Amino acid sequence: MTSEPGGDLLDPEGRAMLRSAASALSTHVDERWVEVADALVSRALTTSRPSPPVRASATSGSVLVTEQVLVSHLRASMDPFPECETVAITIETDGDSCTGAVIALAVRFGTELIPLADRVRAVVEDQLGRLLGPVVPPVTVSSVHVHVDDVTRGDPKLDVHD
Amino acid sequence: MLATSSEARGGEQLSLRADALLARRSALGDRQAFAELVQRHGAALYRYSVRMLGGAHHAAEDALQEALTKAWLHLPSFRGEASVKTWLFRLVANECLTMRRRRGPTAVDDKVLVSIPADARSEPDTMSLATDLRDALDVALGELPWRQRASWMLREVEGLSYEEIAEILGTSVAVVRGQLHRARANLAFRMEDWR
Repeated sequence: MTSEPGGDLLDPEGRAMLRSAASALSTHVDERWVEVADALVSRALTTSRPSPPVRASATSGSVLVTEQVLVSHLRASMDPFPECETVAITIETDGDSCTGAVIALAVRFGTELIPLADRVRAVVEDQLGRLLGPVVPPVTVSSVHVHVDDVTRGDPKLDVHD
Repeated sequence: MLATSSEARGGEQLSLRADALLARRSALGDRQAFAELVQRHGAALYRYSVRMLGGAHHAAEDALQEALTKAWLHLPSFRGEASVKTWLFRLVANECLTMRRRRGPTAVDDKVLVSIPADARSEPDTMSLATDLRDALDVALGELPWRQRASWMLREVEGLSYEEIAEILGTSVAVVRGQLHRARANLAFRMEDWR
């Protein structure tokens, strides 16, 4: 007996046949998908996300960099920290000038938070310095805020809650 | 050894967590995470689009391209109200619908009249039988009305819940139940010779 709609219309053979057919299809991977998958992903990734510009300072003049670029680089700079996972990054601005950043983290249970926050601030300051150049006012560790949003029992890079 | 239902649920939870993590990283600009997310669901999304667009592979690729581009663009605003898988399917379903409207609807009668003969089976081995059964199913699916086909694919092939299907198709659970009811009856009749 089945509670599925339409199931009561089918005899056991009919149900079994449809189950087999669905199973044959669910395990099937279209050859064409295998051929085009990489190209579809690559093309999707060429699309730029709309994002506000942030002014950077080069020796030849100023340059505009999008917030997305800064966020992407800052996230990558957190990869070497095994004890935490980046949950969110916010770039703080005044007009198009970067005034700081907020890094939200999920941290493995038992990690000493204060030393971790100090190291994260230093890395973010260094990264923003590289990406934005000698902007005025400069982004320093005091304008980088670290939020610990979650604590995980296991590896935070595999165990972040929503 | 057979997996217990709690092990299966555990696996599902792990998979949901992995999706959420990849979506979050993608939102923060991690291209590798996005590629991995697509790798996890792409085959299913493609399978769905091809069947929803009557086997037209080029149209399915176009629909999927649009959906993946939108996914990449909008992941920073994805709040996780639905699962990542449901969200991706919704994007793809919408693109398939748009594509179908552009191409113009194909007239399909709710009552399917002719069953697909099973005597065309080539080799009696399991692999060939599965392939022939799948081919017959593709033909039968292609003749189902749009919502019946979508509901059946999402429920029986992709294993989604009624609530998730309703979310993807922008309808109610009651409508999904009704569409499934008719889809099962139509498919069973259409594929009668395969019992």
